[in-house]
Amino acid sequence: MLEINPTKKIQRIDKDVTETEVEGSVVLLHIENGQYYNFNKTGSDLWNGLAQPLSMNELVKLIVDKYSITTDDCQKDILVWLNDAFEHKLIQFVD
Amino acid sequence: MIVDSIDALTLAEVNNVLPNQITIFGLTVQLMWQPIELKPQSEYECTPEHFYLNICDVAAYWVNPQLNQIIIERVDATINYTIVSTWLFGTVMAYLLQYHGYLVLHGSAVLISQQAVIFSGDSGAGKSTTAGALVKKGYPLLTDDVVVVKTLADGTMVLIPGPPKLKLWADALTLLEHDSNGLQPVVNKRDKYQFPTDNHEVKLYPIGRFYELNPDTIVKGISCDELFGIDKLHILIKNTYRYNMLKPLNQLSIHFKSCSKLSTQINVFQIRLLRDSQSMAKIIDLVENHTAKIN
Repeated sequence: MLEINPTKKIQRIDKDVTETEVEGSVVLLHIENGQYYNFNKTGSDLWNGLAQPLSMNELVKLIVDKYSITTDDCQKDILVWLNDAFEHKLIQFVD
Repeated sequence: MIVDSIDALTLAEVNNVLPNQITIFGLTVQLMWQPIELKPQSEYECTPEHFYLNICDVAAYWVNPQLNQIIIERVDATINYTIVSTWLFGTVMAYLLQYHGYLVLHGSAVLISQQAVIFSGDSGAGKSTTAGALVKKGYPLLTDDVVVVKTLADGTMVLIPGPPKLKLWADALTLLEHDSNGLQPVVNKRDKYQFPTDNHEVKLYPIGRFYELNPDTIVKGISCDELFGIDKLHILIKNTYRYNMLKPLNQLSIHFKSCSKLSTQINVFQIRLLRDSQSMAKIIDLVENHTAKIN
Protein backbone atom coordinates (compact mmCIF):
# COMPACT_ATOMS: atom_id res chain seq x y z
CA MET A 1 0.00 0.00 0.00
CA LEU A 2 1.42 3.33 -1.06
CA GLU A 3 2.12 5.81 1.73
CA ILE A 4 0.15 8.89 0.82
CA ASN A 5 1.08 12.28 2.23
CA PRO A 6 -2.35 13.36 3.50
CA THR A 7 -1.75 17.05 2.90
CA LYS A 8 -0.37 16.83 -0.61
CA LYS A 9 -2.80 17.87 -3.35
CA ILE A 10 -4.02 15.19 -5.75
CA GLN A 11 -5.45 15.80 -9.22
CA ARG A 12 -7.14 13.72 -11.93
CA ILE A 13 -5.26 12.81 -15.09
CA ASP A 14 -8.10 13.95 -17.34
CA LYS A 15 -6.36 13.93 -20.66
CA ASP A 16 -6.41 10.15 -21.06
CA VAL A 17 -9.84 9.59 -19.62
CA THR A 18 -13.43 9.87 -20.85
CA GLU A 19 -16.15 9.74 -18.27
CA THR A 20 -19.83 9.10 -18.22
CA GLU A 21 -22.45 8.52 -15.57
CA VAL A 22 -24.64 5.44 -15.40
CA GLU A 23 -27.44 5.57 -12.81
CA GLY A 24 -25.48 7.92 -10.57
CA SER A 25 -22.18 6.03 -10.77
CA VAL A 26 -19.14 7.32 -12.60
CA VAL A 27 -17.78 5.07 -15.35
CA LEU A 28 -14.44 5.91 -16.89
CA LEU A 29 -12.75 4.83 -20.08
CA HIS A 30 -8.96 5.11 -20.01
CA ILE A 31 -8.20 5.68 -23.67
CA GLU A 32 -4.55 4.67 -23.54
CA ASN A 33 -4.95 1.30 -21.89
CA GLY A 34 -8.49 0.68 -23.13
CA GLN A 35 -9.74 -0.20 -19.64
CA TYR A 36 -13.11 0.68 -18.21
CA TYR A 37 -13.51 1.61 -14.54
CA ASN A 38 -16.77 1.62 -12.66
CA PHE A 39 -16.89 3.42 -9.32
CA ASN A 40 -19.36 2.74 -6.56
CA LYS A 41 -21.14 5.62 -4.81
CA THR A 42 -18.20 6.71 -2.68
CA GLY A 43 -15.70 6.23 -5.49
CA SER A 44 -17.89 8.42 -7.67
CA ASP A 45 -17.98 11.07 -4.93
CA LEU A 46 -14.19 11.00 -4.69
CA TRP A 47 -13.72 11.23 -8.45
CA ASN A 48 -16.22 14.07 -8.71
CA GLY A 49 -14.60 15.78 -5.72
CA LEU A 50 -11.27 15.69 -7.55
CA ALA A 51 -12.70 17.97 -10.23
CA GLN A 52 -10.33 20.33 -8.46
CA PRO A 53 -7.11 19.27 -6.72
CA LEU A 54 -7.68 18.08 -3.15
CA SER A 55 -5.49 16.43 -0.57
CA MET A 56 -6.36 13.12 1.04
CA ASN A 57 -7.40 14.94 4.21
CA GLU A 58 -9.74 17.11 2.21
CA LEU A 59 -11.23 14.06 0.46
CA VAL A 60 -11.85 12.39 3.81
CA LYS A 61 -13.57 15.54 5.03
CA LEU A 62 -15.73 15.59 1.92
CA ILE A 63 -17.01 12.07 2.57
CA VAL A 64 -17.38 12.60 6.32
CA ASP A 65 -19.46 15.73 5.72
CA LYS A 66 -21.58 14.17 3.02
CA TYR A 67 -22.49 11.00 4.87
CA SER A 68 -22.27 12.18 8.47
CA ILE A 69 -19.87 9.40 9.42
CA THR A 70 -16.63 9.45 11.37
CA THR A 71 -13.17 9.86 9.91
CA ASP A 72 -12.21 6.41 11.18
CA ASP A 73 -15.06 4.83 9.26
CA CYS A 74 -13.91 6.01 5.87
CA GLN A 75 -10.21 6.84 5.98
CA LYS A 76 -8.98 3.32 5.27
CA ASP A 77 -11.39 2.82 2.34
CA ILE A 78 -10.39 6.15 0.86
CA LEU A 79 -6.73 5.17 1.12
CA VAL A 80 -7.47 1.95 -0.74
CA TRP A 81 -9.36 3.83 -3.46
CA LEU A 82 -6.54 6.31 -3.85
CA ASN A 83 -4.00 3.53 -4.11
CA ASP A 84 -5.99 1.85 -6.87
CA ALA A 85 -6.50 5.12 -8.71
CA PHE A 86 -2.76 5.93 -8.54
CA GLU A 87 -1.89 2.44 -9.74
CA HIS A 88 -4.20 2.73 -12.74
CA LYS A 89 -2.86 6.19 -13.57
CA LEU A 90 -6.20 7.89 -13.06
CA ILE A 91 -4.78 10.39 -10.56
CA GLN A 92 -1.42 11.94 -9.68
CA PHE A 93 0.07 14.32 -7.14
CA VAL A 94 0.14 17.97 -8.11
CA ASP A 95 3.76 19.04 -8.59
CA MET B 1 -23.59 3.94 -63.40
CA ILE B 2 -24.95 5.69 -60.35
CA VAL B 3 -26.92 3.51 -58.02
CA ASP B 4 -28.55 5.60 -55.36
CA SER B 5 -31.43 3.62 -54.04
CA ILE B 6 -31.81 0.23 -52.47
CA ASP B 7 -33.92 -1.03 -55.40
CA ALA B 8 -31.22 -0.12 -57.85
CA LEU B 9 -28.64 -1.78 -55.59
CA THR B 10 -30.45 -5.10 -55.81
CA LEU B 11 -30.83 -4.63 -59.55
CA ALA B 12 -27.10 -4.02 -59.89
CA GLU B 13 -26.43 -7.33 -58.24
CA VAL B 14 -28.88 -9.24 -60.36
CA ASN B 15 -27.42 -7.72 -63.52
CA ASN B 16 -23.83 -7.99 -62.27
CA VAL B 17 -23.26 -4.28 -62.74
CA LEU B 18 -20.53 -2.54 -60.76
CA PRO B 19 -22.03 0.66 -59.36
CA ASN B 20 -19.98 3.87 -59.19
CA GLN B 21 -21.87 5.28 -56.25
CA ILE B 22 -24.06 3.85 -53.55
CA THR B 23 -25.96 5.30 -50.64
CA ILE B 24 -25.87 2.93 -47.73
CA PHE B 25 -26.68 3.55 -44.07
CA GLY B 26 -27.35 7.11 -45.15
CA LEU B 27 -23.80 7.67 -46.44
CA THR B 28 -23.16 8.32 -50.13
CA VAL B 29 -19.97 6.59 -51.16
CA GLN B 30 -18.03 6.63 -54.44
CA LEU B 31 -16.87 3.23 -55.63
CA MET B 32 -13.88 3.00 -57.96
CA TRP B 33 -13.20 -0.36 -59.56
CA GLN B 34 -9.52 -0.17 -60.36
CA PRO B 35 -6.09 -1.28 -59.13
CA ILE B 36 -4.92 0.22 -55.85
CA GLU B 37 -1.69 2.17 -56.18
CA LEU B 38 0.98 1.80 -53.51
CA LYS B 39 -0.55 -1.16 -51.72
CA PRO B 40 0.61 -1.63 -48.11
CA GLN B 41 2.66 -4.72 -47.26
CA SER B 42 0.21 -5.87 -44.64
CA GLU B 43 -3.30 -7.23 -45.24
CA TYR B 44 -4.95 -4.61 -43.05
CA GLU B 45 -4.32 -0.99 -42.11
CA CYS B 46 -6.59 1.32 -40.16
CA THR B 47 -5.70 4.98 -39.62
CA PRO B 48 -7.65 8.25 -39.48
CA GLU B 49 -6.39 8.95 -43.01
CA HIS B 50 -7.11 5.65 -44.74
CA PHE B 51 -8.29 2.07 -44.43
CA TYR B 52 -6.93 -0.92 -46.32
CA LEU B 53 -8.20 -4.47 -46.31
CA ASN B 54 -6.98 -7.29 -48.51
CA ILE B 55 -9.21 -10.37 -48.74
CA CYS B 56 -7.17 -13.17 -50.27
CA ASP B 57 -8.47 -14.47 -53.63
CA VAL B 58 -11.30 -11.94 -53.59
CA ALA B 59 -10.44 -8.23 -53.56
CA ALA B 60 -8.56 -5.44 -51.85
CA TYR B 61 -10.35 -2.37 -50.53
CA TRP B 62 -8.85 1.10 -50.00
CA VAL B 63 -10.92 3.78 -48.25
CA ASN B 64 -10.33 7.53 -48.36
CA PRO B 65 -12.66 8.67 -45.58
CA GLN B 66 -12.37 12.39 -46.26
CA LEU B 67 -13.79 11.87 -49.75
CA ASN B 68 -16.06 8.94 -48.83
CA GLN B 69 -14.30 7.08 -51.60
CA ILE B 70 -13.60 3.35 -51.81
CA ILE B 71 -11.26 1.81 -54.36
CA ILE B 72 -11.93 -1.87 -54.97
CA GLU B 73 -9.36 -4.02 -56.76
CA ARG B 74 -10.87 -7.42 -57.55
CA VAL B 75 -8.61 -10.41 -58.09
CA ASP B 76 -10.35 -10.99 -61.43
CA ALA B 77 -13.65 -10.44 -63.20
CA THR B 78 -15.25 -13.57 -61.73
CA ILE B 79 -15.56 -11.70 -58.43
CA ASN B 80 -18.97 -10.10 -58.83
CA TYR B 81 -20.61 -7.31 -56.87
CA THR B 82 -22.42 -9.70 -54.54
CA ILE B 83 -19.17 -11.24 -53.39
CA VAL B 84 -17.47 -7.86 -53.05
CA SER B 85 -20.41 -6.56 -51.01
CA THR B 86 -19.80 -9.10 -48.24
CA TRP B 87 -16.87 -7.07 -46.93
CA LEU B 88 -17.95 -3.76 -48.47
CA PHE B 89 -21.17 -3.65 -46.43
CA GLY B 90 -19.40 -5.06 -43.38
CA THR B 91 -15.93 -4.12 -42.24
CA VAL B 92 -15.28 -1.50 -44.94
CA MET B 93 -18.47 0.49 -44.32
CA ALA B 94 -18.00 0.07 -40.57
CA TYR B 95 -14.68 1.91 -40.85
CA LEU B 96 -16.34 4.82 -42.66
CA LEU B 97 -19.27 4.90 -40.26
CA GLN B 98 -17.02 4.85 -37.20
CA TYR B 99 -14.87 7.55 -38.81
CA HIS B 100 -17.97 9.74 -39.08
CA GLY B 101 -18.84 9.12 -35.43
CA TYR B 102 -21.74 6.69 -35.80
CA LEU B 103 -22.17 3.92 -33.24
CA VAL B 104 -21.76 0.59 -35.03
CA LEU B 105 -22.87 -2.59 -33.27
CA HIS B 106 -22.80 -6.23 -34.33
CA GLY B 107 -26.35 -7.43 -34.83
CA SER B 108 -29.52 -7.65 -36.87
CA ALA B 109 -32.67 -5.62 -36.33
CA VAL B 110 -36.36 -5.76 -37.20
CA LEU B 111 -39.17 -3.27 -36.78
CA ILE B 112 -41.71 -4.07 -34.05
CA SER B 113 -44.40 -1.55 -33.07
CA GLN B 114 -42.55 1.30 -34.75
CA GLN B 115 -39.33 0.61 -32.84
CA ALA B 116 -36.10 -1.06 -33.88
CA VAL B 117 -35.43 -4.26 -31.94
CA ILE B 118 -31.82 -5.44 -32.13
CA PHE B 119 -30.50 -9.01 -31.87
CA SER B 120 -26.83 -9.24 -31.09
CA GLY B 121 -24.25 -11.79 -30.02
CA ASP B 122 -21.20 -13.66 -31.25
CA SER B 123 -20.92 -15.06 -34.78
CA GLY B 124 -23.21 -18.04 -35.10
CA ALA B 125 -25.31 -17.05 -32.09
CA GLY B 126 -28.41 -16.75 -34.25
CA LYS B 127 -28.80 -13.06 -35.00
CA SER B 128 -29.62 -13.41 -38.69
CA THR B 129 -31.69 -16.55 -38.14
CA THR B 130 -33.77 -14.80 -35.48
CA ALA B 131 -34.24 -11.78 -37.71
CA GLY B 132 -35.24 -14.12 -40.55
CA ALA B 133 -37.80 -15.87 -38.36
CA LEU B 134 -39.32 -12.53 -37.36
CA VAL B 135 -39.35 -11.36 -40.98
CA LYS B 136 -41.32 -14.50 -41.79
CA LYS B 137 -43.84 -13.44 -39.15
CA GLY B 138 -44.26 -10.12 -40.92
CA TYR B 139 -41.86 -7.79 -39.10
CA PRO B 140 -39.85 -5.66 -41.56
CA LEU B 141 -36.10 -6.20 -41.64
CA LEU B 142 -34.10 -3.10 -40.77
CA THR B 143 -30.55 -4.41 -41.02
CA ASP B 144 -28.49 -7.60 -40.89
CA ASP B 145 -25.05 -8.00 -39.25
CA VAL B 146 -24.28 -4.28 -39.00
CA VAL B 147 -26.39 -2.06 -36.71
CA VAL B 148 -25.78 1.65 -37.25
CA VAL B 149 -26.97 4.12 -34.63
CA LYS B 150 -27.03 7.86 -34.99
CA THR B 151 -27.63 10.49 -32.31
CA LEU B 152 -30.15 13.12 -33.35
CA ALA B 153 -29.90 16.77 -32.33
CA ASP B 154 -32.35 16.24 -29.46
CA GLY B 155 -30.28 13.37 -28.10
CA THR B 156 -32.56 10.54 -29.29
CA MET B 157 -30.62 7.63 -30.71
CA VAL B 158 -32.01 6.10 -33.86
CA LEU B 159 -31.18 3.16 -36.08
CA ILE B 160 -30.29 3.75 -39.72
CA PRO B 161 -31.55 0.85 -41.86
CA GLY B 162 -29.09 -1.16 -43.96
CA PRO B 163 -29.26 -3.13 -47.20
CA PRO B 164 -32.37 -5.37 -47.30
CA LYS B 165 -30.53 -8.67 -47.17
CA LEU B 166 -30.19 -11.47 -44.69
CA LYS B 167 -27.20 -13.76 -44.64
CA LEU B 168 -28.34 -17.17 -43.52
CA TRP B 169 -26.70 -20.52 -43.03
CA ALA B 170 -28.01 -23.47 -45.04
CA ASP B 171 -29.47 -25.16 -41.99
CA ALA B 172 -31.19 -21.94 -40.94
CA LEU B 173 -32.70 -21.71 -44.41
CA THR B 174 -34.11 -25.21 -43.93
CA LEU B 175 -35.51 -24.14 -40.57
CA LEU B 176 -37.22 -21.23 -42.24
CA GLU B 177 -38.32 -23.41 -45.16
CA HIS B 178 -36.45 -21.73 -47.94
CA ASP B 179 -34.25 -23.68 -50.31
CA SER B 180 -30.95 -22.32 -51.49
CA ASN B 181 -31.59 -22.66 -55.25
CA GLY B 182 -31.47 -19.31 -56.95
CA LEU B 183 -29.81 -17.59 -54.00
CA GLN B 184 -26.40 -16.02 -54.30
CA PRO B 185 -23.69 -17.70 -52.24
CA VAL B 186 -21.73 -15.48 -49.85
CA VAL B 187 -18.10 -16.49 -50.09
CA ASN B 188 -15.91 -17.39 -47.20
CA LYS B 189 -18.83 -18.29 -44.97
CA ARG B 190 -19.52 -21.96 -45.18
CA ASP B 191 -22.97 -22.51 -46.69
CA LYS B 192 -24.25 -19.02 -46.05
CA TYR B 193 -26.57 -17.49 -48.63
CA GLN B 194 -28.02 -14.06 -49.19
CA PHE B 195 -31.68 -13.73 -49.95
CA PRO B 196 -33.36 -10.45 -50.66
CA THR B 197 -36.16 -9.44 -48.36
CA ASP B 198 -39.09 -7.42 -49.49
CA ASN B 199 -38.85 -4.14 -47.73
CA HIS B 200 -36.78 -1.04 -48.33
CA GLU B 201 -37.20 1.02 -45.19
CA VAL B 202 -35.15 4.20 -45.42
CA LYS B 203 -36.57 6.10 -42.46
CA LEU B 204 -34.80 6.40 -39.12
CA TYR B 205 -36.22 4.40 -36.22
CA PRO B 206 -36.05 4.92 -32.46
CA ILE B 207 -34.58 1.90 -30.73
CA GLY B 208 -36.62 0.01 -28.20
CA ARG B 209 -34.89 -3.20 -27.22
CA PHE B 210 -31.56 -4.96 -27.49
CA TYR B 211 -31.27 -8.72 -27.03
CA GLU B 212 -27.92 -10.46 -26.71
CA LEU B 213 -28.21 -14.07 -27.84
CA ASN B 214 -26.10 -16.71 -26.12
CA PRO B 215 -26.29 -20.34 -27.24
CA ASP B 216 -26.20 -22.51 -24.16
CA THR B 217 -26.13 -26.28 -23.72
CA ILE B 218 -27.17 -26.26 -20.08
CA VAL B 219 -30.25 -24.07 -20.04
CA LYS B 220 -33.62 -25.80 -20.35
CA GLY B 221 -35.11 -24.16 -23.40
CA ILE B 222 -34.68 -20.42 -22.99
CA SER B 223 -33.86 -17.96 -20.24
CA CYS B 224 -33.96 -14.20 -20.42
CA ASP B 225 -32.61 -11.62 -17.97
CA GLU B 226 -33.10 -7.90 -18.23
CA LEU B 227 -29.92 -5.96 -17.50
CA PHE B 228 -29.56 -2.66 -15.68
CA GLY B 229 -26.99 0.02 -15.01
CA ILE B 230 -23.38 -0.76 -15.78
CA ASP B 231 -24.26 -4.24 -17.09
CA LYS B 232 -26.25 -2.65 -19.91
CA LEU B 233 -23.33 -0.45 -20.87
CA HIS B 234 -21.00 -3.42 -20.77
CA ILE B 235 -23.15 -5.48 -23.16
CA LEU B 236 -23.39 -2.67 -25.70
CA ILE B 237 -19.62 -2.10 -25.64
CA LYS B 238 -19.01 -5.84 -25.86
CA ASN B 239 -21.19 -6.15 -28.99
CA THR B 240 -19.55 -3.35 -30.90
CA TYR B 241 -18.75 -4.05 -34.54
CA ARG B 242 -14.98 -4.15 -35.13
CA TYR B 243 -14.17 -2.61 -31.76
CA ASN B 244 -10.47 -2.69 -32.60
CA MET B 245 -10.89 0.06 -35.21
CA LEU B 246 -12.02 2.64 -32.66
CA LYS B 247 -8.64 3.37 -31.09
CA PRO B 248 -6.72 3.95 -34.34
CA LEU B 249 -9.59 6.17 -35.44
CA ASN B 250 -9.49 8.16 -32.18
CA GLN B 251 -13.19 7.40 -31.73
CA LEU B 252 -13.01 5.47 -28.45
CA SER B 253 -14.30 8.43 -26.48
CA ILE B 254 -17.29 9.13 -28.73
CA HIS B 255 -18.09 5.43 -28.86
CA PHE B 256 -18.06 5.20 -25.07
CA LYS B 257 -20.36 8.18 -24.69
CA SER B 258 -22.71 6.84 -27.38
CA CYS B 259 -22.99 3.45 -25.70
CA SER B 260 -23.63 5.16 -22.39
CA LYS B 261 -26.36 7.34 -23.88
CA LEU B 262 -27.95 4.39 -25.69
CA SER B 263 -28.00 2.38 -22.48
CA THR B 264 -30.21 5.03 -20.89
CA GLN B 265 -32.74 4.95 -23.75
CA ILE B 266 -33.39 1.26 -24.34
CA ASN B 267 -34.12 -2.01 -22.56
CA VAL B 268 -31.31 -4.57 -22.74
CA PHE B 269 -31.78 -8.32 -22.30
CA GLN B 270 -29.47 -11.29 -22.20
CA ILE B 271 -30.98 -14.48 -23.63
CA ARG B 272 -29.56 -17.94 -23.14
CA LEU B 273 -31.00 -20.64 -25.30
CA LEU B 274 -30.60 -24.22 -26.30
CA ARG B 275 -30.19 -24.38 -30.08
CA ASP B 276 -32.74 -26.90 -31.31
CA SER B 277 -35.75 -26.99 -33.61
CA GLN B 278 -37.81 -25.12 -31.00
CA SER B 279 -35.45 -22.25 -30.33
CA MET B 280 -36.80 -19.85 -32.98
CA ALA B 281 -40.38 -20.35 -31.85
CA LYS B 282 -39.30 -19.68 -28.26
CA ILE B 283 -37.48 -16.48 -29.13
CA ILE B 284 -40.43 -15.21 -31.14
CA ASP B 285 -42.78 -15.94 -28.23
CA LEU B 286 -40.50 -14.15 -25.82
CA VAL B 287 -40.06 -11.10 -28.04
CA GLU B 288 -43.81 -10.86 -28.72
CA ASN B 289 -44.60 -11.19 -25.00
CA HIS B 290 -42.24 -8.32 -24.29
CA THR B 291 -43.94 -6.27 -26.99
CA ALA B 292 -47.33 -6.96 -25.42
CA LYS B 293 -46.06 -5.91 -21.97
CA ILE B 294 -44.63 -2.67 -23.28
CA ASN B 295 -47.75 -1.66 -25.21
